[in-house]
Amino acid sequence: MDLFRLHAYAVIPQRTSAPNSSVPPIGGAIKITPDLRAVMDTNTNEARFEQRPFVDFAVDTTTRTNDTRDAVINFAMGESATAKAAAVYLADRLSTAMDRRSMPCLFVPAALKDDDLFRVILWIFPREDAFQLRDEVGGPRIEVLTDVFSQKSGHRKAAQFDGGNIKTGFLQGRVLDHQADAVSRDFADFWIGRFLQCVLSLKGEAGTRLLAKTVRQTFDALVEPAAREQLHAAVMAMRNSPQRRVSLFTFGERYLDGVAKAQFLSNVKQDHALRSSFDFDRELFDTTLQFHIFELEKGVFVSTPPSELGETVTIKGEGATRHLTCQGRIIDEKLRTRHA
Amino acid sequence: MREQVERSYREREPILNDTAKLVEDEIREALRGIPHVDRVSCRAKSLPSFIGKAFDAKNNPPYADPLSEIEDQVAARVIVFFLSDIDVIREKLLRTFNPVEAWRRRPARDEEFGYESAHLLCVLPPHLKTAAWIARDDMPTTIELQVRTIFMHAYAEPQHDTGYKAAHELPSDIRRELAWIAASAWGADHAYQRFWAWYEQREARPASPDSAA
Repeated sequence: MDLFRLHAYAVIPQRTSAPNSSVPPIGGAIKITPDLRAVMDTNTNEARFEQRPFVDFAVDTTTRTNDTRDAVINFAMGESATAKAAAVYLADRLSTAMDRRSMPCLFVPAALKDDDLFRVILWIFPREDAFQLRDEVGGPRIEVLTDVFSQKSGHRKAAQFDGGNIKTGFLQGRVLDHQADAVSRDFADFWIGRFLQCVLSLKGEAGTRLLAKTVRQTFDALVEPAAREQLHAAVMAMRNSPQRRVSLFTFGERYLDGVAKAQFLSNVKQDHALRSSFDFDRELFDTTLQFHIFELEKGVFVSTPPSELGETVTIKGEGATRHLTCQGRIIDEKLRTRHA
Repeated sequence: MREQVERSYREREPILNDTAKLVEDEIREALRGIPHVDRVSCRAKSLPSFIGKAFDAKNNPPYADPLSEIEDQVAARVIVFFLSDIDVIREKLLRTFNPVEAWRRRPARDEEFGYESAHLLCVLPPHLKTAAWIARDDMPTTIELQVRTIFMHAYAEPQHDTGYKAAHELPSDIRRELAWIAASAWGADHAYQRFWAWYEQREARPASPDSAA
């Protein structure tokens, strides 16, 4: 796609500023030089949007409008003045979405085109202090630069949206946001929620069901007791983690390794399903995963919901010497020819 | 253009069919355990129906890119027992799908009876996109979801098969016959709703000593 429009604005956090005291963003349209085009291409390639989570614009369902989406469309398809107004609106919106925990940043909206298809990439590059060594007549001197914006910072963020000039365009995009999984929801929601006015495309319930289904498939496919035990520990860790935003990929990376991890990841057929983040729903997870089944050496089976592990069902020991104890009042019993 | 669109749609029909199956399974999972769901179904739009919609002379403005713009290429329907179930199902579906449009179809005038249904246009979530869907850049972003009662369905579905979409295409006496069916369906839905409200209230009441005998 061909980069045809690029703006840049210095943006400072103003979410908590007093009313009527906001400072307008400084910046405007930037001439696209070959060097700048190459730098933006590199940034885009390194962002690896194809591996990033999907987000959807949270539109008003009676009008199909969303202020950020409308500005993104105007930036891509409007004439210069319309595009500038859209970019200023976005910069202003970004400023009022950021509080003092965020660093001042360089906001760079970029528009690309390929035939009838448009793409908008919104970037923020955080400000960093940098040293500059100067070799001067009186000797070398270090200058501290405070107006430098980092392209490689882990705090940089980006969002990419595509579409044509039709009502189904620019509804879904991908985001680069390393803070989106943060434990603090307020911090995590700054880029996707407050600024972009988006929500995760994989909703909490759907993602949780997908995770539970994949865990079940993995458990059934694993034969080694150690691998099954690791999966079990991963389930317990996920249930108790304060980090509620997760993807199947991060679940695999964070809690599994070896055979269990390989089996788990291979059970997710689509890469975009694997990489899509969602907000974990513990109650639904327990309901969907249903029961954990243990087979004891004398042919006894114990089925338990995960929530009872460590409570009325306890397991002691490790590996092949694990022992299970279960205690509770019997409220029903069934006679079967074999275990279900 | 028509031939090209027809050819492209024929090519994508297997992708749409695969996606319809995934969407139907997802909705069944999402609604698991919810009472009063009569059935869940999902279909890919047929080629004649798609072409008919894409090149309908009444489209104003005409579709510039029907392959991307027509949003019911994959459409699911949930049929429920009672009117009060519609909102329950709708809310539950919105915990799985992100909506871009939501509306309730009903006759414009109070004294009219006709087609009724709750509609949602939602973005197709990433885990329901097949590799073939992702590989094409002209697939629609959205799918359609409908929720209606058995009686709403009983009124709408037989007519759908006749292909008549506009009332003015029908003779006056036939229009009145259909209005009578719609009114009967509307009345039956409301009567059933009153029955259900009575039944729920009765079940919620603690049993009296007499009733235990």
